[in-house]
Amino acid sequence: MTAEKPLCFCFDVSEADIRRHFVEEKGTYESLVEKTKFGTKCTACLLDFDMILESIHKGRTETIWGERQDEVHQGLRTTEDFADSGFFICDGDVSTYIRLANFGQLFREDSPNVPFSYGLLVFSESGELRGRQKGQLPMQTDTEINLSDVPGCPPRGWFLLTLRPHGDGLFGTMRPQIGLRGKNWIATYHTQPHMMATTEKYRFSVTILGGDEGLSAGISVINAEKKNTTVDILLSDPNGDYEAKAQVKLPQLGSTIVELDDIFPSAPCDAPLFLTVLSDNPTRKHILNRHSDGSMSLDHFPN
Amino acid sequence: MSPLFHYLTPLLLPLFSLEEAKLVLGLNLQRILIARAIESVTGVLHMRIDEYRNGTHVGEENLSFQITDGIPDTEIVWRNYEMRSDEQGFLEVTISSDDSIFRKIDLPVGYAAIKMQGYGALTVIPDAKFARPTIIKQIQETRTFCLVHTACRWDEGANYGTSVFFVNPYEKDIVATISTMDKKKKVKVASKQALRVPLADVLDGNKTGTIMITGNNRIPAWIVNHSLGDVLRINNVDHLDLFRGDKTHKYLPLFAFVKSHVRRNLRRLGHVY
Repeated sequence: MTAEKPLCFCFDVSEADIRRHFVEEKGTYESLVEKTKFGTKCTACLLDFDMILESIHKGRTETIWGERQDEVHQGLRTTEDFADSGFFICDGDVSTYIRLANFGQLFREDSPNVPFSYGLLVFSESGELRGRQKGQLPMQTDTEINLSDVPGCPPRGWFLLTLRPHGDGLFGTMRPQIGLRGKNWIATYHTQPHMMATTEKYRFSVTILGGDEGLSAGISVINAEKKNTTVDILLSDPNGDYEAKAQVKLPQLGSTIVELDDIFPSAPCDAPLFLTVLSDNPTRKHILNRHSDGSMSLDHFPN
Repeated sequence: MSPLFHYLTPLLLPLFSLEEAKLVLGLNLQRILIARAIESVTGVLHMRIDEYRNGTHVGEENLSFQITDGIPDTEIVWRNYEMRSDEQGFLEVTISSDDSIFRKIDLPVGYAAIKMQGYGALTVIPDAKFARPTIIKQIQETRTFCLVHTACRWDEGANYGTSVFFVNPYEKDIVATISTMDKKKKVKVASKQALRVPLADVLDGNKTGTIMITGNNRIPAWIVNHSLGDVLRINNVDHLDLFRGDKTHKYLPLFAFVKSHVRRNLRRLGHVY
């Protein structure tokens, strides 16, 4: 289609072709695909295409690979507020640790990283603040916080982890990773922003698959607010043959791990079930699947 | 006015080598429409599910659903896929419509679940074939595709380890490099193939480490925790994160700036969390 360097190598379409199509010819994505078959074979160019479209919508005219324009900043400058939460178990053979890593991209030292400091608050299931820890995470370092080493840490509960950047840079590898370790297994999950606690609509349902020994699954619910909350847990079969509801009350800033076999002892285990958790205050929720060898699988509720 | 699209980015799901196991996919069409379609839409929704095993396209299912005033004739689509010990692959789920009804093409969906007979279940999050907002931001800021996982471990004494499960849904082979602080490992993932790569030779034994993955194209991947004695026994599947292009600072209007700082100070004093 053009002598310019292609963006879509499969059908020889360049960035200039795309700009002409959208800006001068007032074309649509569909008409671009119809005319050129752009992005329909290996699809590797679609990521660049997203960036070009965004650039066109913002009225920029230089190529995405040209010099980046200085950003126009309006308002007052502040550091991002990173405050994530998650559940933990430090009970019997199971321990929980938080991994923080502050490495440059592909471990390069010239990556735009900045040092971070962190603050950790540890809460019991009854909502009491039981432990605190602070620390620094210089560039090109990582650390592991074993929650059972935090003075006052109870066997179960939840934590709030705040991260404070010292300087202007990128967040990079700083998303916290949580590991639960048993005698012969390890399982990990990512934390999510504590502000993602919800009552309904988002992050409130998950699929449950039962086994020979019952549902063998639990849910962790964290009450994110300083108000007592009521949590409704609904389990249903998609065909409408089974539906059950249980209710749990949580104190302010409290948390719990509810075993589904305890609250739904007669649930069918031979078909997928839909678990829905609603609460009158925002809550954070995780799913724990238990296995026959004592290991676990973990995840936060999906987006 | 923002453009509307007639398709959503295809979803990818791993089919691991497992014994007596199945992947259960439950797609809630009602929630997808609420999250991504224009309000009260009427039309037809198409779903195509492609199944690849050991690099071969072994199955294709085409489904259509009538939407009336924003409500699909089927709320949730359920499908089961057997997993076998001598096969690995992936599913590609493409949702489209006859008309341009979607406000965005990225698709927030729930987990699929895997059930291993006599062992238990686990959850697995789908990946997107393209247009993941976090990847776009990463490329904008750093121009390099880079996946990250900071809690990988290979512990022979405790009999567990971490592997990476790659899927290449594209038309060209991908060479991916797995890096740690002092080691690198290159792997080639052929087009339409899946590949499980144990991290034994890049991780220091009995020590939790960080890996980063780059390649000559973006590549979908999952982190798998498993027994070393029985590699067909997976206990946890996690997604990888990205080297985040998010900036550590932002600019806020006065009111939002004050609100943000009041919230931080209240949190510091223990009034809100």
